[in-house]
Parts: sequence; C-alpha cells; structure tokens
Amino acid sequence: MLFGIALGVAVVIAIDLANASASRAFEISSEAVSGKATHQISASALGLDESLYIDLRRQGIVDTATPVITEFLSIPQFGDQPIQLLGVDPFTDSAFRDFIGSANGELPLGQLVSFITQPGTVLISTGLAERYGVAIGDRLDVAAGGLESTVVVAGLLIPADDISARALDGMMLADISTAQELTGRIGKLDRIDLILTPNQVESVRAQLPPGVSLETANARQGAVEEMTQAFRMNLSALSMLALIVGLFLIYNTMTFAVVQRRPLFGILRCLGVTRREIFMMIMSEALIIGVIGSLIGTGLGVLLGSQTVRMVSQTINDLYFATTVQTTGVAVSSLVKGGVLGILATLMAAALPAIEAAATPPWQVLSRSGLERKARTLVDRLGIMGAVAILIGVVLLFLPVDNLWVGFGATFFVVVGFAMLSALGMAILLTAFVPVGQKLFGLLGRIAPRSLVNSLSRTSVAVAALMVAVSVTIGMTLMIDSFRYTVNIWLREVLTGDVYISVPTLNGTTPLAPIDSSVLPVLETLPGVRQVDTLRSVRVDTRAGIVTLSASNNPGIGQERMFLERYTGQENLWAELQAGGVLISEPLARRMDLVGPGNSIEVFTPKGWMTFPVIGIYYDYATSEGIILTASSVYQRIWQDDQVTSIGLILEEDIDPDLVVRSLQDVHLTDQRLLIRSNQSLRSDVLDIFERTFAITSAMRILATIVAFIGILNSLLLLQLDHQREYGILRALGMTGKQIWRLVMLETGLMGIFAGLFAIPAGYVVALILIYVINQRSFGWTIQMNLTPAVLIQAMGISLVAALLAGIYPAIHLSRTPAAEVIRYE
Amino acid sequence: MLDHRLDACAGGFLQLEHVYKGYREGERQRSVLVDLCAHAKKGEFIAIVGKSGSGKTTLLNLIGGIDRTDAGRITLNGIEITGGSDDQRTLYRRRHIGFVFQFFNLFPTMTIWENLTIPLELNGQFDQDGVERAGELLAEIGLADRKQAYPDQLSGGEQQRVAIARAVVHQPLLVLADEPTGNLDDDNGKIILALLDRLTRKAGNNLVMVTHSLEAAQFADRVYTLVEGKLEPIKD
Repeated sequence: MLFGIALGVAVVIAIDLANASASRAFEISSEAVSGKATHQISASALGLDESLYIDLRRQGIVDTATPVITEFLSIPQFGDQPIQLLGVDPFTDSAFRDFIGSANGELPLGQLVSFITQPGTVLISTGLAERYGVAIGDRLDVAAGGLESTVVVAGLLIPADDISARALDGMMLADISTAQELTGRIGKLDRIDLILTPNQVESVRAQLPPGVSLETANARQGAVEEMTQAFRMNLSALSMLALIVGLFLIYNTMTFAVVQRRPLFGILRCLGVTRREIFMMIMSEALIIGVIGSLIGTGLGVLLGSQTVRMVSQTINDLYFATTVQTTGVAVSSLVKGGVLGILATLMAAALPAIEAAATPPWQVLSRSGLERKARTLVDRLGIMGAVAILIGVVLLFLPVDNLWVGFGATFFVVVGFAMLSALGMAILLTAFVPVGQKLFGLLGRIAPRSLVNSLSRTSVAVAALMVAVSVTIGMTLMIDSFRYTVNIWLREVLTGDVYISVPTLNGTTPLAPIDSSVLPVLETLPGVRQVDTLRSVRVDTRAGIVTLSASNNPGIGQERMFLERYTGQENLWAELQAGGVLISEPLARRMDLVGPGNSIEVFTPKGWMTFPVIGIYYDYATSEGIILTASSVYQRIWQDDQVTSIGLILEEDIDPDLVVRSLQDVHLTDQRLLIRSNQSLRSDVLDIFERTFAITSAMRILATIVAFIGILNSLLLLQLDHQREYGILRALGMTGKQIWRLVMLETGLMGIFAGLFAIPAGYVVALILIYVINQRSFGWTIQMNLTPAVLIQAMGISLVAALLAGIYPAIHLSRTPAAEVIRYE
Repeated sequence: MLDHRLDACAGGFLQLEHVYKGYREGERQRSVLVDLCAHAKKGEFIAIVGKSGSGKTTLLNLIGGIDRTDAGRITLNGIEITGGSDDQRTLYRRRHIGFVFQFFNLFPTMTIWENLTIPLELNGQFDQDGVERAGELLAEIGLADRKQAYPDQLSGGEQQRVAIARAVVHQPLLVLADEPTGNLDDDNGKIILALLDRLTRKAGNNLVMVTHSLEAAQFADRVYTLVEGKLEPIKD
C-alpha cells in the first residue's frame, strides 16, 4: 500500500515539476530576452527594416530603445541543445538587460572592448563555457537557418544570480551587426525594445508605418502560455490518474484492514470505545501511512522529475517553441502539493472503511456470510449507481462548455461507473461460468468461480481496481494508436512530393528559414523532375496570437488536403485562393471559433491588418497552434517576398527518389546547409516527432499500470490470505498442495480475465472521450478512431498476467502452509 | 507393561506403533507423544480423553495425515499413513478420513449443500449416487429444508450436524472427531454424539474422538486417557 501511495505521489510530483519547469523555463528565457522593455515594435513575418530604428531615434520619437535580433542556433560544440542568439546593441542595451556593462561590472573591461570592437565575436556564460570546455578566444561553428559561420568567444558573462545563470545557460550574445550576419538578415531587425510611459504609447504608435506594430512586452508571452496550457493540463490530469488508481487501491487495502478487524472493533465497542474513537483510530492509521507514503513519493518524484522534465521540454520544443533553459531547479510548491495530495487522497480513501468500522455494533459482529449477503445486495445497488455515474459522465460530455476539466470529470464518472458495474457483471458472469469452469478445469473450475462470487465483498473491489487501470491503459493506447493511424493517413495525403528540400530546423515545427534563391532555378531544370512545388512559411500575427502562414504555388493543393469543411467546390479552390481566400487548419479554426461558412480571419500584414475569407478548414496535425494556407501569388503581392522555405519535387514515374536525394546531396547547390529528404524519410522523421510527443503519455501509462499492478498484488495477496483458513480446511479435507496452487491461480486468473473483459468497453469509452472530447478541446485535432483487436488482446493479456503474477506468492504460500498449522489457529 | 505395549501394537484395522511427536518451544523440545502404541478393530469407536495440552489433537492430526510423526508408524487398513509424501497423505486423507472439528469449520461463504458435497467433489463422487447419499444425509440430520442456507444462519448444533454429515458423506474408513461437543450445550452435545455414533456405526466406519468429557466418552467402545505422551486404557 505504501508503495502504491508513494508511486502515485511521485508521478503527480514528477509531472508537476515538469510542468512548472517548462513554464518557468519559458518565463526565464522570455524575461532574459525581453529584459526591462515595456513595449516592443515588430513587423509582420519578415522583420523590421533597421532604418526604422534609426529614424525613430533621430526624430526623437523614442528615448529608450534598442534593436534586437533573436534566433536559435545550432552549435555542434554544444551538442543538441539549441542556443538562443541574442543580437543587441551594446551601447543602448544596458538600459534593458543586465548582461553587459551593468553597474556591478560582470564583464571585465578588456573582454567588453574586444566584443564591441571586433566583428564576429560573441559572449557566452561562464557556466556554458565550463560545461563544454570553451575558453576566451575559442572559435565556435554556428548554424542559423542553414547558414554556417564561425564566431569567436570574446568574453565570458558571469551571471549575477541563479535566475540569470539559468537564462544565460542557453544563450549567446552578439553585437547586432554580427547577429545580422549570422542569421542572414542584413539590414533587418526582429524587433525594437522600448521603455515607454503609458502616455507615450499612442504617440509612438501613430508614428509607425503600416505593417509595423507596437505591443506590450508580455503580450506574446501570454499567448504562448495559453497555447501550452492545454498540454500541461492534460499532463496534470494524466498524473492525477496514477493517484486515482492509487486511491482505489488504498480504499481496497483499508477496507480489508477494517473487515479483518471487525471482531476487534466489536469488542472495543463493548469495552466502551466510542464510534468516534474507532473512526479516529482508523483515520490516524491512514494518516501515518499517508504521511510515510507521501514522503517516499516526494523523494521518488524528484528522481522521476529529472526524466519527465526532459520529456516535457522535448515535447514543448517539438510542438510549441524552442526552450534553451534546461534546468529550473526543484519547485518546493510542487513537492508540497504532491505530498499534501497524497495524504488527502489516503485519508479520503480510508474515510469510508473508517465509517464502516465505526458503525460496528458492540459485541455483535457481522458474520462473514452476512457481510457477503450485504455485499451482494450492495452489488445490485452499485450496478444502478454505476449506470447513473456513466449517465452523468455522458451528460457532462454533451454540456455545451469547452472546459477541459468538465471533460476529465466526465472521464472520471464513466470509469468509476464501469468499475461499479463490474461487480454486478462479475456476479452474473461468474455464476454462468461455473458449468464451463467445471468442464474445463474439473472440480477446481467449479469451486473457483463460486468462491469468487461468494466473496464479492473482497473480490469485486480488487477486480474493479484492476479494471480501472486496464481500461485507462486501453483508452490511452487506443488514443495513441488512432492518432498514429490518423497522422499516417494525413501524411500520405499531404506528402505527395517525392523529394523535399528545406533548411534544418531546431524544433519540430514547420521550417521557416528561406532557402537560398539560387536553388530553385537549378531544381526546376533538373532532369526527371515533373513538377516543383514551393511553400513559403512565415510567422504572422492574428487576433489569436502568432500563427504560421504558408503560401503554396501548387494548384492541386485542394486535392492534397483532407477537409473538415469546405465552403466552395474543389474545382474552385485554387481560383478562390488566388483571389485572396485562405484555408485554415482545424486547430486554428477551433481555437478562433471559425468553423462554419462565411467566416474570415484577420492577419497583420506589411499593409496593416487585412481580412481574408476562410474558404475551407483542413485537417492538420503538424502543430496545434494553427496554419493559414494561401496562394503564393497572394502572399507575394502583399508581403513583397518571393522566397521559399520548402520545396517539393514530383519526379517522373521511372525516377528513383533516393537516387535524386543522393545526387542532390552530392552536388554543391549552395553554401547554405539544406535538408534533402525523400518522401519516405520525411514521413519517418515526422512520425519520430510524433512518437517523441507521446513519450511522456506512454511513460505515464506505464507508471499508472505499475501502480495498478502493485495494488492488485496487494489486493490479491490480502484476498488469499483472508481465505487462508478456508484453504486449510480444504487441505484437511484432502485437497493437495498442487490443487490449492491451481485453485489460487484459477481464482486470480478469473479475476484478471473478468477485469480485462470489463475494461474493454470502459477503455473504449475512455478512448472515445480522449479522442473526440479531450484532444479536440485541448489541441483542436480530430482523430480517426482506429480500433485494432491487438490493443484489446494486449489489454486482456496485461490484466491476466498482472493477476496471475499477483497470485504467485499467495499460491506458493498457501500451498506450502501445512494444514495442521492453519487449523491450529482455531 | 511390555506385554501391554506389544498387545497394543499388535495388528488391528487402525494401528499406531511406537509413535513419537514433539514440538520446539523456543530453546526447548517438548515431547507430546512418546512411544505411543494403540490399535483398533474394524468399526470400533475409540474415545481419547485427557487434559488440555496433553496431545489429543496432535494424535488426531497424525492419524489423519495432517501432521507427520517424528518416529513410529501409523497404518489404516494396512495402508501406512506415516511414510508417504504430503501429497500421498493428502490423497489418503481425502479418500479414507472424515474430520469433525470443535468449531465446525464449515465454509462461511458456501451454502449448507455446497459444504456437504465438497468431499464428494474432491473424490470425484459428485455423481447421482453421491448426490442421493448427500440428500439422504441432509434429511437424516434434519436439515433437508435448509440446503441453501449459509452456516451462520444455523445454530451451533445444526452446524455441527452438517459437519458430521460432511465427514461421512464420502464413506471414509475412519472418522476423526476433535471435541465435537466442545462448543455446544449439553442437550445439543448429546444429540451430536448420538448422530455421530449412529452415522459411523451404520456405515461400519471407525471413529476416533478426542474429548474433555467423560460423559461424552461413554458412547465409545473403548476409552483411553492420554497421559505423558502415552495412552492409558480407562474402558477396555
């Protein structure tokens, strides 16, 4: 029981630590990059012209302003960790950030001078330098947007405090002009940081040219926070699941502990111990167990946390944004939260058995068969309550609210409802199983099911606990399998090209770095190429935050998408796209509530806010953030940008794509580093990201199963030990040790099979909720349910194996206990 | 004394020859049965009386093959009980022994009928004959209408009647009864003893009963007392 609580608490803490860490990491890096800026000037997609900064300063429109370039760099010397490049003006930046030239002089003067005076120099933190053995004067190879360059470490920044140390750990500082060179953004800025008083805001905004916006510094941070909230919430709910399974098991164990001591409580009541005192006695026991279990769980949680932090960071990196802050320390609040939750859960689970113990009348002790008869009546009532619980769950699902917790509540009601129904189902099915059992296993096949039905007060709780764990496993496996299946279909539809070319990205999202313009003409004239499709993806502002806008030159784009809804005929799609209509991805449509005809979306363009009619909503699983798809001609007209970020080649039928990939890799197309992949390889890369995304979910599922397994082991052990005297009588009446062994295994095996059987419908319903409610509300994705018998067989296998394994120790123990010893107890 | 010992060990339907049994109590070895010899003829009813802790139940467990002797030999109808493995002793017990315990030891979660027919099921006799025999026994103990009741719905006397029926339903060679009236009042005790006596004699079974009560022992053909690990005849 202790281990069950400990593991439940550990999982909750580990996930909470990971969530807190992810949040804090984002906060720290955002704060480090934003500094003391109150506002930021930025432009849509293509960056700001640096002349704007000069004009604003020259005209005296702003006093405290500094130009900034940020980009994620890949530096082989620093391993896989993405490093955030922060390009700043060393003279004006000190008003915003404390890295360079601050009052306490963290950077020695000599180093500052070489940083300012020598081009191609950078600053990194002492921590990063020490970790990778880098010293002042060392050269580093950096790659940004496929551009490879070399920089020299001019100095080492000594962080002022712990927070700065963490922020700087994944950062590299460069002079603005060096940053422009490294990123290929000559003459461009990402943004201008400003410190404005409230009454300055409007006057600054009025001076800005079209296509340039002024926002508060934390507006963007809020949007990203909101985006990742659903993901973190899902993880929290998942971690709670382990605790709920644990809770079920604590309840089971405490019930056993109470039932076994009923005679003792009867005697105590007779001797004058009050109901309240008995209740308090049980609750004190639970409190001690809860405290010890939670303490162990807290320790385990911290250990487990290091793994979950890594997995969650990776997923956030793949799905949302690159994180450079690797460690944020252990949040005490997470530990306290997990510990308190563990203790409360234990007390809650113990409350019912404690009430039952307190209700024991003095002396008069409820007999075992009396208890079983009571249990059987209760089973009928539980069945009705279970049906009601499922009904409540269904009602909650259909409530017209988008709240995720309501969805989780519905899942809880459905699972608990099925657990309640399982007792009734077991009573009915096991009774019907007796003749079958006799035919298959002879006498034991008759005794085992009867014994289980006759001990429903004990067996039903153990079966329900196992059922809950297995059903959740089924639900999650079906959801992940369905998701994989859907992504596979989607990839087959979307990836129609034979060869794909893009610039390597540091996270899993769409490539955004432009491909060198010299590449496209070469590819267009390549022999064996039938068609060249291009895509230009940029980040644009919408009223719901930043999303990706992709512009395609492919007239057949309408045939290559699967549509949730389309508001024009397929044959007109291309024409309408060229006329200014846009297609949007399902997550964006759901997030912005744009499902339905006649909607439009506002996008911030170089010409200011523009409205685009939505002509269709297509399924997309690349990002839950959302994508707007437009025609290249429209994009080029508005953004005045003819660059491309990915190229798809459709080859003549007899051309081997792998040969083309190899030959393109061999030919020196450009100095820019390019990723040239065949359809197959791109598809497998996407699926790798998919698997990584679900790594944490799978880990949680395994942990929940372990908690359940330990609980089942505990329950079955108690159940069989509770039957010890009866086994002793059977031994006295002539049952051999082997028969006792087989009987115990048959009983536990039957419990496993029935738990597995009941878990299948419950798990299927959980999968339906996860797929059609939780996932859609969380990420906006529609997943096609893919029900494979393998999942159900696997679940049944888990259930059976868990039960059989759990039966081994009691079976050995009981079959070896001499009958004389058992009978002597009387 | 020597003669008596030789006589006691001489060939009988049930035969105990120089049986030793002791237990460890902490550092000390306590001898319970010391060079114990006894025999019984076919169909005999033997009662063993003695003080608490004198080893009566131990002796019964040894005869029933539940426990093993430290030395000596026990045979029933020529079959040696002491020499076999645990499984062999179990199979011997299943087929040839019926047990009646002081605290009835019925399965609380099984009905009266289910409790009664367990030995038939274990012996593969749950056929028409067996079922008929069980039905007759149930009628004979006066509980034919309580077939579906659970043990705790019966009185102590009724429960012990079921336990006796269970002990004889599979027609064993020997019934072992451990204080069968120890948990009952006088009237019920008498009814139980009469039933035990009647059912075992009717089937021609042997019966070995241990008891505190000399009054209960009067039903037996021979009565022994267990003193210092040996049987001393009281009524021979």
